[in-house]
Amino acid sequence: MSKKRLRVIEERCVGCRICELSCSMFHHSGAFNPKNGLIRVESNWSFGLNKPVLQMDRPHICQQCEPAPCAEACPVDAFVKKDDVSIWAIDQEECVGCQQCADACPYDMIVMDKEKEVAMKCDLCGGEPLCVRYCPTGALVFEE
Amino acid sequence: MFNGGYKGKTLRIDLSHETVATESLDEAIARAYIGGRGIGAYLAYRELAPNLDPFSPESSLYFMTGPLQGTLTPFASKFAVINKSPLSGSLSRSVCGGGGFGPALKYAGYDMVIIKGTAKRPVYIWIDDDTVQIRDAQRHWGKTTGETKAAIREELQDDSVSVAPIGPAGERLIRFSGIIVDSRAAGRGGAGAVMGSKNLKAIAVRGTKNVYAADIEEFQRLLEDTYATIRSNPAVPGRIEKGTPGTLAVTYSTGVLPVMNFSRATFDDIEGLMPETVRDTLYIHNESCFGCPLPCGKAGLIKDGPYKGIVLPGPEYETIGLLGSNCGIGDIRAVAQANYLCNEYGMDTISTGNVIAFAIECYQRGLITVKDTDGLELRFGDAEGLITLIEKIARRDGFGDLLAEGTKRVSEKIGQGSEKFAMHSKGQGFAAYEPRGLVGMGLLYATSTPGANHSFGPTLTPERVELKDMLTHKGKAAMVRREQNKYCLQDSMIFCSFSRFGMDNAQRLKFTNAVTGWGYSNEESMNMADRIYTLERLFNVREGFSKEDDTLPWRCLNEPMPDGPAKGNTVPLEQMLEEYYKERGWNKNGIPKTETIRRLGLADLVDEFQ
Repeated sequence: MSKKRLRVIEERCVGCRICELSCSMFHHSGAFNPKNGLIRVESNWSFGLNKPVLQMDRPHICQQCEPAPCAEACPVDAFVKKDDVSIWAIDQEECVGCQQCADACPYDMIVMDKEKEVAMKCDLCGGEPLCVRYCPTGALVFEE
Repeated sequence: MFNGGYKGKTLRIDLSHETVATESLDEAIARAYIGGRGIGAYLAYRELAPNLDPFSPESSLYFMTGPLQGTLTPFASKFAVINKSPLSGSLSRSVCGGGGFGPALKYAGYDMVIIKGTAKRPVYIWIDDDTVQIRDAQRHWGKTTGETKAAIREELQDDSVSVAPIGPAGERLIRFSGIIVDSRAAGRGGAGAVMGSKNLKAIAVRGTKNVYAADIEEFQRLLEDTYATIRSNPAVPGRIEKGTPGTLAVTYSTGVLPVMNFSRATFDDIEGLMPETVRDTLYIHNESCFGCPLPCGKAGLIKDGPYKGIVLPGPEYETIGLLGSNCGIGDIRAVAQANYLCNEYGMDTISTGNVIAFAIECYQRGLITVKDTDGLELRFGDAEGLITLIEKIARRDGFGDLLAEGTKRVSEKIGQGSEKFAMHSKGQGFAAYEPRGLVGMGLLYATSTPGANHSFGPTLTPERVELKDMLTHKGKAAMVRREQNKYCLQDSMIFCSFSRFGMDNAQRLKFTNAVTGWGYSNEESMNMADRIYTLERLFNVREGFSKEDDTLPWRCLNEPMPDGPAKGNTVPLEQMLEEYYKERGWNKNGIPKTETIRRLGLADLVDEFQ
């Protein structure tokens, strides 16, 4: 069982949103839109006198909670534990799109797929997260 | 039918009649002109009647994407604006990477947005996927670009909306006003003023649709290639560390950085503008444009002095050249503050620095006096004076009202031989490269579609590194054509020029092929670049431009460089022009020959208008 975890080194993030785009590409069969991303970057850039200079770009990631409020909230047991990466994933065949997991997530990291009407969450791309692979600054790391 | 990249849909908005319509993109046109600048030139040639006033309701403004926008293609963050330039009367294009605006248009379902007409009162356009509204903007009129973005996002209750606003400068038709998207500008060519003339304060976009690549497997292979190239490119870390201001060390040491209205090449206060000084004085955070793996953008903070506490975008190389050394300013904090004000008011920093330096030289020569300048004594190196003049231009206040017309028109008004050192070509002010020290750039300035715009094919590296000759005419005509063509393709697929840090022409084309599924050959793409460039030329010819407009100010041609590595040099323009026209298949007067027009597949288009 892998003990690797996805981690953010916030000060390295430059707000390029490559993580969101690569996530979209992987989880939506080659479709691109950052809004599909199961990782999310919040950018707070404003210019002028005494504007904030910290946390200008902040990636938000699924915390892979344990116990997981999303999995516990699911009424149809669509969440399955992926032992190889030690995280919860959503079986899309089982998901009924009720959004209770999304409501339960304290980090707002569950994304509803509008077309398929199912919930999606970060599954670490099965063990080789693309966001980490393409992050140009090393702001995302996947390590023990 | 498009397999990938394109959405196949054009959005047309008429502000006079308050109508919104969509139309299909013609596949044959897309294949012949790719997108962005190419399709923009095609549409402008067809739709903008000759001798149209750029500020008239009939004058359209084209917001263009290319096939790549919205995909994960590296360096493809930008959109292009095409318009008839109120500075030069020629065709103009400006590219801008800010705010993910180009990708957002694609996600909303459009390849391009074409705006004509003039709204009865200030409006902004809200594109929310298929829902497009022309909304009241009276309460936003007068706001700076930053304020406008924040106010529109608040009004729409969504901080993720991409907003492309103009500032007060665009509203007041300042001829070099631009569109400012976050920290980036579609700055040159007066697109902001054209927007202002339409009473259009901003375009806001939200898109939830997907963009696809025709061959996603090939696309991912190319992605791996390019990321590997970027990771192993030794020039990348320096570009990230210093941003474009890193270029200044090279241009100053080779005598190319403009100093005091392009009058000399040495500057006592240069240390204050050197890349390390800029980095240490200002930088607090790196920034990438949307989807770009090379964070060359900088957030800056002025830590001391009169502008202490201002958070601002780090000035780019061109800005430091024009608002800094060209105005005799060696304090990067003052340059940064001037840059910040230009962005907020929505003015091109290059043209602003150009016209202010020109005014200072006119004053120093006694061609204008305090009676003309509202009592201001103009001198190089006066940071406070620079800030005052920027404020006056943005408000069109007194002397600023004249400067707001741009270097060419100011020089025509002042007269007295001032045109000899009015540093523009076709009305577009020089960027931060002194042509006497980099003569190929002189040819580029003289022959580029909108006038002296470096971003139509900058020659610094080709002349310095490849030809190892910055001072003579040799090989420059072919090189300028080649660079102009390269940029023509880049601007049509829409790649940032910094894509050179990770890919060459062939790789750019491979990405375009993977996304569109069209299989352009290298030869076909070069032909396409010639086609687009010559079409832009035909637009200008129809406006009355010819060889006599392909020129440089007297100073470049007759006044030997007084100091620096290029001391004694002038620009051998005539020799280069003759060769250049031959290269392009244009006649001795700079008019494309009939055989060239036929060869490039432009005959039908041109005949239609004869």
